[in-house]
Amino acid sequence: MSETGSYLTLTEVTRSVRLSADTIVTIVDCGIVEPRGEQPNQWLFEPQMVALMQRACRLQRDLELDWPAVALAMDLIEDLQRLRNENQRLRRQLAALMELETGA
Amino acid sequence: MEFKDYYQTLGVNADADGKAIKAAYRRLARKYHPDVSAEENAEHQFKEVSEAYEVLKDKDKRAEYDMLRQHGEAGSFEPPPGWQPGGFQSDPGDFQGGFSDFFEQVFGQSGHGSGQGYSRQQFVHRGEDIELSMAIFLEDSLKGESHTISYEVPTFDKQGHLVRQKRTLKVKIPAGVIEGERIRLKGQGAPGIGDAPAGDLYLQIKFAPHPMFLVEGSSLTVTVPLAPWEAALGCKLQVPTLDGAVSVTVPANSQNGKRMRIKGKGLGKGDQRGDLYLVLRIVLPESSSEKERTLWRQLSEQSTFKPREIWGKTG
Repeated sequence: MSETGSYLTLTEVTRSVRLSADTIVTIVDCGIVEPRGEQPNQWLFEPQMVALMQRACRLQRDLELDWPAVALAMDLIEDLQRLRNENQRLRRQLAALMELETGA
Repeated sequence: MEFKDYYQTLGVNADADGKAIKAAYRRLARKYHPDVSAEENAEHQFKEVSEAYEVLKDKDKRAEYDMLRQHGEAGSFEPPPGWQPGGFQSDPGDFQGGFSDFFEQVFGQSGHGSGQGYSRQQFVHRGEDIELSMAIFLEDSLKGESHTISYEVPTFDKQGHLVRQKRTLKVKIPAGVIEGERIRLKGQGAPGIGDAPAGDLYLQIKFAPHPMFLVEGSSLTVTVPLAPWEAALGCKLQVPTLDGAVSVTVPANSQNGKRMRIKGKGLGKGDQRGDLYLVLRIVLPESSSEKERTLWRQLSEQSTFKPREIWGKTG
C-alpha cells in the first residue's frame, strides 16, 4: 500500500517542478499559492499547489508575463472555472426541474 | 514531410520585424494557451504558434529558415542535400510531444525528443512526476476504499532507449475525497536516473456521473418528484442518500422547485461532511382516468385559488 495525502517541502517542490527556490518564493509572495508554515524552510505545500505553480510558470514563460500579471491571470482563470462549473450545474439542475418545451 | 510556413502560422509578412513577430505571438499565445483558452484544439494550435515563434524570434534560426523557405514552399519538404541540422538548444516547453518533425529535421533534436516530453539530456536527475486522473463512484468516496490502478512509467533501458513499463499499484483513497482533489503518491512516478530519487505520482479524483445525485463540492442535490396532492397536502417519504434511505417530511403547500436540506448527507468526512439538498419537482401523470378527471373538476369548482392574480384583470 502506498503512502497518500502527504505535503511537499520547498526542496521537494523545486525538484518536482524544476523551479529555483527563488522563483517559488516569488510565486508565494504574489499569493499564487499559500503554503502552511512561516519561513520558507518550514513551508508545506499541498499536492494541489504543485499543479497551480506549474500552470503559473507556463503562463509566465509562454505569455511573457511578469509575476503580478500571472497572479491576476490565475485568479481570473479560477473564477472562470468556478463560473463554468456553476453554470453547468445550474443547467443540469434546471433540466432536471423542468422539461423545456418549445411552442405553446 | 510537410513544409511549415511559420510566417503564415503567426499571420505576419515575411519581412515583418522582430516587434511585429513578438506582438503576433503574444496575441496568438493568449488566444490559444491551453491554460486559458476555450478554443477547440487549443493545445495543438498553441504548439504551432510557439514553434513558429521559437524560430522567428531568433535572428540566426530565422535566417536559416528563410534560406530553406526559398526551396520549400507549400507541399512536401525535403532538406537540401548535405543539410546539417543546426543543433540549436531549444526549449519547446512542457506540453507533451515537443515540436514537429519539420522543426527537428531543420534545427536538430531539441532537449525534448521522443515520447511525451520526457527528456534524455537536459535533466539527468530526479524522475518525472506522473499525472493520472481517476474516476471513482460517489459511494466509494465516503469509505476510503482501496483501488488497484495500472499505468505506464517512462523509463530508460541500458541502451538509453525510452521504454514504457507497466506498473500496478494498490492505492487506498482517503475517505471523504472530493472532485478535483489531488492525491500524491510519493516515489511512484518515473524512476530517477542513476541514484536520483523517483518522481511522484499524482492522482486527480474525478467522480463518475451518478444517476441520482448532482455534485457541487461537498454538496449533493437530488430531485424529488411529487404528485400535486403530495405537494398540496404535505407528505412523509423515504429519500435515498449515500448512506441509505432517510425519512423526510414535506410540508403542506410546498412549491415546485422548493429546496430542502438534509444536514451531513453530502460528501466529505466527519465535521467536513457536506449536505444533501432536495429539490421538489411537481409532476403530473401522463394520462388520467375518468374518475381522476372528475375529482380534479370538483377541486377546480371548489377552489378559490387564483394562480394568475399577479396579472391583474387579464388573469
